[in-house]
Amino acid sequence: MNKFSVLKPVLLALAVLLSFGQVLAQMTVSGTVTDARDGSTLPGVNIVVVGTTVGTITDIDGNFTLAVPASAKELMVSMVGYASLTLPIGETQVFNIALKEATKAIDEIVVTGYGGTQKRSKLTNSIATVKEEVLKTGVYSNPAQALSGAVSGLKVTQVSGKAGAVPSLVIRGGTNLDGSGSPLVIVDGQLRSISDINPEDIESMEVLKDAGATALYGARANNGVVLITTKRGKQGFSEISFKTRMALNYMNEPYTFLGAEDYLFWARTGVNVASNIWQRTNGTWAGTTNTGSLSTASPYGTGNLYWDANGVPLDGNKTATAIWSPMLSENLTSQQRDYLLGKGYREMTDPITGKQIIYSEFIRSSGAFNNPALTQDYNLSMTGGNDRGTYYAGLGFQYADNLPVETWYQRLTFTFNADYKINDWLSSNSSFNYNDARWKDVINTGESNYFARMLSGPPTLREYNDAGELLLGNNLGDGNPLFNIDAFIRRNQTDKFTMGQSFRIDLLTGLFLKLNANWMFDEGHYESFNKDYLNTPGTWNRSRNSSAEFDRTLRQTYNAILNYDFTFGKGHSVTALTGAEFYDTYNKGFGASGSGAPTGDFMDLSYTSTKEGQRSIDSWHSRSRILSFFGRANYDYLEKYLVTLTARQDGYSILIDNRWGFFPGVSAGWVVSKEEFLKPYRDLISFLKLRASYGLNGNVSGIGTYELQGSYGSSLYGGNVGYALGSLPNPSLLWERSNTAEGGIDIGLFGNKVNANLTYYNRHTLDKYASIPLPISSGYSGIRSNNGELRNSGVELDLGVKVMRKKDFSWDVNANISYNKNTIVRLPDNGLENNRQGGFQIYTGEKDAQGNYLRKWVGGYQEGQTPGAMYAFRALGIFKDESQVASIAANRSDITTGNNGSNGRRLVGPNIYATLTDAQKATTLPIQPGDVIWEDVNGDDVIDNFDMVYVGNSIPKWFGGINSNAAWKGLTLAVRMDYALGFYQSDAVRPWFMGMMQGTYNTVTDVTDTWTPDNTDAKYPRYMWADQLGKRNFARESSMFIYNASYLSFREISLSYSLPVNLFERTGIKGVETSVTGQNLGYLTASKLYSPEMGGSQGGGYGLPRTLIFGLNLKF
Amino acid sequence: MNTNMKKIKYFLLMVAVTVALVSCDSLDLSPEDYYGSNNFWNSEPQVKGFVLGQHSQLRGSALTLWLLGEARGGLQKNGTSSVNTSLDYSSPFKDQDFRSDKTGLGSWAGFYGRILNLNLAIKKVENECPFLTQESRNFYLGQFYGLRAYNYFWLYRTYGGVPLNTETMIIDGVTTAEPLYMERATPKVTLDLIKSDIDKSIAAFGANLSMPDGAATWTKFASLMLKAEVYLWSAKVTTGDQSPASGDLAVAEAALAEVENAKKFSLQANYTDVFAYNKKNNAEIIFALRFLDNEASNSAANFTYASNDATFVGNKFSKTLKLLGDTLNQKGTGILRNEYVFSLFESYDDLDKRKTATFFDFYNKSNANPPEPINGGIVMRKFHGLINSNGVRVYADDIPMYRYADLLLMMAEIENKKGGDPARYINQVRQRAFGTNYVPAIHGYVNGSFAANELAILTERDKEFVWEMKRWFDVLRLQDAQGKPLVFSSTLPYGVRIPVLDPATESHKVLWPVDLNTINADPKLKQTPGY
Repeated sequence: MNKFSVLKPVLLALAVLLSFGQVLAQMTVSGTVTDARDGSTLPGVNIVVVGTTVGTITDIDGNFTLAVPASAKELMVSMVGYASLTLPIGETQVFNIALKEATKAIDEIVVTGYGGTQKRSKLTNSIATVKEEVLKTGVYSNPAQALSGAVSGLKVTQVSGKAGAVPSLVIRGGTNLDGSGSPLVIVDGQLRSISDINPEDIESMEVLKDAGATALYGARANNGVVLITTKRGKQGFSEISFKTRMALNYMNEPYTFLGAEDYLFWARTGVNVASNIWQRTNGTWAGTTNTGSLSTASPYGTGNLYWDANGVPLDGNKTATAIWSPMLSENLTSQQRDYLLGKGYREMTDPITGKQIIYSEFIRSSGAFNNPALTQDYNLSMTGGNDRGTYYAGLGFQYADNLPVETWYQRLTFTFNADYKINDWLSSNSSFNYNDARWKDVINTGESNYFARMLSGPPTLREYNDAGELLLGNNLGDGNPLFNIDAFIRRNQTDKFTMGQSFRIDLLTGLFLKLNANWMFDEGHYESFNKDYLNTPGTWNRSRNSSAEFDRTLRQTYNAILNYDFTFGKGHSVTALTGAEFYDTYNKGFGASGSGAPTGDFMDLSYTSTKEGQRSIDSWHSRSRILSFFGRANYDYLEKYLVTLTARQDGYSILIDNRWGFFPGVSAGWVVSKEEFLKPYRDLISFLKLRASYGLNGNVSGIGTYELQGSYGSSLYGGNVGYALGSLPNPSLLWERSNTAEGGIDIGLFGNKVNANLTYYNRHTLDKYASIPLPISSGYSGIRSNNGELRNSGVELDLGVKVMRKKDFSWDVNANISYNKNTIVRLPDNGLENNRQGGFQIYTGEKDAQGNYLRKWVGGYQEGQTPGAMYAFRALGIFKDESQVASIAANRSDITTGNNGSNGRRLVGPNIYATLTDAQKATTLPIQPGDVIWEDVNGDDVIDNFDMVYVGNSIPKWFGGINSNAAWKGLTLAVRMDYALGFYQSDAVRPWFMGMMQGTYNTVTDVTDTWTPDNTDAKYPRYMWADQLGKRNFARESSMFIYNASYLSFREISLSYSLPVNLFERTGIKGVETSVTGQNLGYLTASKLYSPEMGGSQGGGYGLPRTLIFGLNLKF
Repeated sequence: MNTNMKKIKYFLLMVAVTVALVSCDSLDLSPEDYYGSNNFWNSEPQVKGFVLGQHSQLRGSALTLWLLGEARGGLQKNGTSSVNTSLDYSSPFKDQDFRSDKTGLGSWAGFYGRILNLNLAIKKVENECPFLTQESRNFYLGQFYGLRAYNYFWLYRTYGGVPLNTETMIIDGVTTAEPLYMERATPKVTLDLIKSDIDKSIAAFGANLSMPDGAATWTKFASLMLKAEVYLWSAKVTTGDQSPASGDLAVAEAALAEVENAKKFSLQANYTDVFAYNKKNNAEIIFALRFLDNEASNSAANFTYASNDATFVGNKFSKTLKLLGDTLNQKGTGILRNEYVFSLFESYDDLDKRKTATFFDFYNKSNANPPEPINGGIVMRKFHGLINSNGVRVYADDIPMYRYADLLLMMAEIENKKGGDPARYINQVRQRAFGTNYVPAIHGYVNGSFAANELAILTERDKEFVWEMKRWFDVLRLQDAQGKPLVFSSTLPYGVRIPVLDPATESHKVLWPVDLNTINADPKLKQTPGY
């Protein structure tokens, strides 16, 4: 197929048209039309004399000859896909015309909701379209994972690397005080969650950001709207496509833990240091623990046993004395010692006693993770259609192993969309979509703890007992997960069916009625069964708990839409739409559980014990409804002056006295580049539009279905049901309302080689839900009210550059950047300064006239402030030696309370310490070399909880993405990066490891840079047992563990190759493409946490794995 | 033309359907599975259920009650336990390090949520609920007034004067903070409300002595026990403007006599039977928080060792130096987060059956020759629950709040304060404790001075009421020769801190500080004096 044959029908039509034209030939012009990019000739180009019907088309070599009337002034040269040219006819009668490719970006069609579409050039709102290539390269279990950096103003935060995890999406800073707030996700007109949608079935994704656009979705749309349209068939096009991708996921965690020998050295030293902090008057040493544990049966203790007193090997699955390996060599016979050394045991010198310790090393994470984990993804799609009917069918299957052993995610999707024209005024559109997802998660502990717990497990654990059987370890949660792996059956399954049917009735020309009905079943079926499992050494759990639950939500959406397109006068064009919608969602379900089955073989609940209290059952129901009336009108004059009006009236069942809300939106645009005065600059400014919008949205998120009606909660007491007050009735609550105003410029330069959009927005949310703190003596600590106001304001810039357009080489770069700032405008009056809610006090560093140290309230929420401020004690360094302690902290005392279960012991400098009795010393600790030098903000020589300082904000100020797409012949190199700047994180895990806070667990290699008498210039304070019970060098918010989390993520680098088509000429294959992609390759960041994407205090978690993907696409 | 007519018909039909679907009433929905505010207080089962719900809430606060009633009593180790676990509530509870920014508990320890419930119940049952007979209305009122007095009495002993909320303003539609601000009443006004609620409760119960849920819900006997406890407190403890009045002791004595005269309660022959899972509602229990397997567990698991803890199992020895395994058969439960002082254990006579019924002791083996047991530690054996039919240990013993032994020892205290001989009451308790080992000449108590008697009552209560939330209040109420609370006494025979509070610097700590968040939420609130 070449270009010419595609254009055949067009040529024919034109020829027919021209044959009716009146031809008054007085002069002849001729010429050749070529492609400006590579100089090749263009056949089928329209040549028309402006103001007449006289014209022709170029032949196969790009040549034309045309007889024109003498009055002719200009020739219009145009072709689909190329920018039209108008040339004056004068002296010149032979033309050499080079046509430039038109830029699709300006002419693309944008989906605006409720079946509406709009040319991008006529758009007056901030609606971003996610380009298809964004969804094509990586492997995603849902489309949200592909959105990082794709759209300006949309912050995507991915903090879990688990397949199936849904990242958080926040548009323009969110309307909640804490910066959260998720957009509505509407798939083919149906409100649903974005999880489990197959990206392959998506035709387009639109992100509606401004209220002028989202007002059409009214009540719940103040956090924006994501519209997803699935693929449908096209007339005259048929294709079968098969895509397969295999991905290897490699663990990417930021911690390096010690091996067994280093672990024993540091852990035993840490206990010893904590046991010898101060000396009693009788000369004995004391501390926050004693060295007794060094000789117990424990991970670092030497009281572990391999054999009992009779020399019989002990089984670590029966006794806790035989799970860890360290022992004193001197307690073994030489035979026993040789036996163990032969089994791979090693010996080291105990740093405390100088004796020989014999131990083995087992890095438990090797058994706890699939690394790499494999993901397989297959997609088969078929599409076709004729002039009556079209269809699209897509079948997708994905199976992904997760990194923790025996955890996985599986997704099966099927989409079938069919359209049929029944007669000339009635057509039918049917949609069917099915997603089935199944998964198994970590069982022995939570996902976020799993990584930290498995990685930090003491490496002195014995992997096997003497008989060669696997050992559990100390308990289910911390032990070897492989041990009980078959004992826990979990069957989690969700099924989502969407069925949509709509009819379009064409009433008059331009006037049609569309009736839609959409049903979505969202079902979950969850079964769980515990076979007998070893809970702790010697203790089997034989409860055999079994449970089953079925949950169904049926969402029904019915709407009727009347649409009228008409033009009047000269160049006035109107598209008007009005409609009504009824939405009903009903959730019901039941669940049952039991225990005490006689055997552990079957999960069938009928086997569970019928004794009292062994079984429980429950069922639940809830319904909510929304009734809406809405309308939209687009008007333009000559595609130059543009106005759009939208409005929606919503009534929502969960509100009571103030149920109805009215949400209008207006937007306008002016395509300046169509004005005469810009024509001379057309080569420079090819497109210029100014636009502005204003609108009102609502929100009721976070309110339970019947919550405002008040409730009486139930619980059992003595086997009977008892009641007590639950939620308070709150009938007067009303919609949150967001006023959003924005203004923007869309500009195309150098023949649209460079496109840019700049938008400023200001969203002011009124009647914001805010909890009014109530005096505790009232019986409730707070009640939700409409008394808050929040402002999000910011700027978004999108930039697209066609860097290179050569014959075989093209290169596009797109980038966007967004700035957002949230300000709390108002909070409920509570008589406090700035109507502050929550928070705490810190010193200002100044004194009042009476010499009292002044303090100010920070944190929490306050009027006029940006939420997310973080505070910490500033570490100025580490006390190197006694003389430095004496010079800085001789009279200092530290009465901070600490975190992580700290007991808040008072720490005092040497002068104070010298005055204490032994009894007082027992509850106080001295400030010593190796401790942190904390900043004393007010200079009173007392470090207390008010001595914290501002260290940064947890919410990014700037974020965006950079994408590059380069193609050379069949090769394509795509690079996607995204970034967020100007925010901070507080690391809650590393101090836990470095403060030996668990008491026996392994620590990170940073420990080698902690203070010791030999390393007085260390970066970190002294490593000692249970820092939270001691000096709180780690167990407090510390600037040492605050990171600037600004990051640049190398999200994807993909190289693909389309094999030359002529290779498959007779096979029926239309195309073959292979690709190799690196996904989530890493971050450029100063953060040392597993993910820099979420600010604030963060613990451990499932970091996004580094993924290597191999892909093959076939088209028939 | 025909098709146009058809189209218009379709259109009208669709509009009609849409309008029918969307009538505005369709947005009025109410919960299908539970009571909303508008459909409660409509039947007697709801009222009865509300009574149970209040007890369920009280049960839910059992650990808080332990923190208030016992953690500060001076019998708790702090810091690190005998098996190297870190002990919970070490500070400020167990080491008394209370400050205005270190209050241990916040939000008035959670009492006001329950009080609001009770205020509502009193209002509804007193003025509405026409479906109730006079008899049942009075019984419920007796329960609700009794429970409200009980909740306020805990607050009073903890904080002294507190805000006295007897209204239901936030349920009646007040949704702003200002009308709800409420200052602390003086201690006297607070105690007067408690006394008046008790009188209303007892008057409402009238002659109705029924115990419909056994000892698991409030009865007239519970109100009488509370009355005795309140007036005994009133007779001995001075708080702010509340000082002892002459008639208080007699009122307390009369209330106890009324319980005694009902002839319903007596000591169990075996001490362990008092708490046995299968002997709930035994004749010794007057009022208890009900725990049940598969319904609710208490926190006793945090007072015993973990069966997988190698620091204990296979490492600790009995007093006779036998290596201990999982002697208590913990079934994988337990962790030692709270440990009583070993000296309390040592203070029991070896023939006192409470010694091993209450505690389980363990030792390290010394390196001496012959080896000796050293570094003794104890875990709690009382309230050890049951091993249920699945073979799982469940900590579901009832926690008695009032029982007959308490009645006897309160009688002893009244007798002593009157100047009489408390020995016969003390000895009833001892006799049961020693059982067949009891030899009056050796184990019986002989009347001594006022101070000696007070100390004897305290140590008897210490041995008898471990984990029954009494100790902190006992040391505040029992007195030395000068009439000063024993909390300041330097002559206590055991404890982690003697005196429990230093009279010179810590006298304000007999009352608890109020946390800053609670004070910040109400500008009318003032901090407890001394903080």
